[in-house]
Amino acid sequence: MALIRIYHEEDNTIYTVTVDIYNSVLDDGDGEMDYYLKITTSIKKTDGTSFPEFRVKTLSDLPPGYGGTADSFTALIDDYVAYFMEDAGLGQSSSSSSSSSSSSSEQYSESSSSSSSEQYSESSSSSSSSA
Amino acid sequence: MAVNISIYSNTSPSTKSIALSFEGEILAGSNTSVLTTDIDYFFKITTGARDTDNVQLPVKLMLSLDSLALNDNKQSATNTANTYVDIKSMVVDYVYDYINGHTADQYGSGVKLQLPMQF
Repeated sequence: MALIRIYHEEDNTIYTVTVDIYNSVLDDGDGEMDYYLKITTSIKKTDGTSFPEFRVKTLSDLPPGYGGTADSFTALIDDYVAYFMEDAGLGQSSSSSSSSSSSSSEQYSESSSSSSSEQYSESSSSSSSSA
Repeated sequence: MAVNISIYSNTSPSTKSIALSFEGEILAGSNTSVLTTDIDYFFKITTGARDTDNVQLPVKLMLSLDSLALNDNKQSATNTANTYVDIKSMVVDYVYDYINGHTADQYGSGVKLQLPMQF
């Protein structure tokens, strides 16, 4: 399994993109056992909703808005990570992206006890960006 | 998590296993023509099985659908240099290669001899 960790400075949060191999019969009409990648992320869209799971069978199974064919699995994963970050506005440096505090359970805060293990928990004292 | 593929023999009661995983690591070796610190994402096949000379079968890495089983030059099951059409066909061909092995320079691929899997 490949785990990509993305630290978002404004939210002081580490988001993850997870890529793993699965094999099962997919509802793609042929009834055959398939091998495919499942790509998931803890990043939320700007409206607070989750991204869907993406199932990748070929190097042409690129994220929405990306055309063509990736020339490697590295290029494919890079495209998905870029898509998640761009669609969630993580690359925007304005305060707009960091204001969506109600949307995600992944954010770092002292009270978010229900959130996942991916929080940037030990860093509150070292976060120089808030100075 | 990895996908484990069990291989049963028609002639032997033993069962072999191949593990297929997807990894993100910095590669240093023959798969990287230029040594970089960039992370690569790739499929990795490992097995504890041995060949008929009792030699450990090698780890295989697939960085793309054009990472063909025979030295990146040819598919193992057929004499073709076509890129795999999907992940499934890539996995099937690599498993075929583990089980059946290949001759030296099979299909003119320049590959070294690999003996069949020992059961």
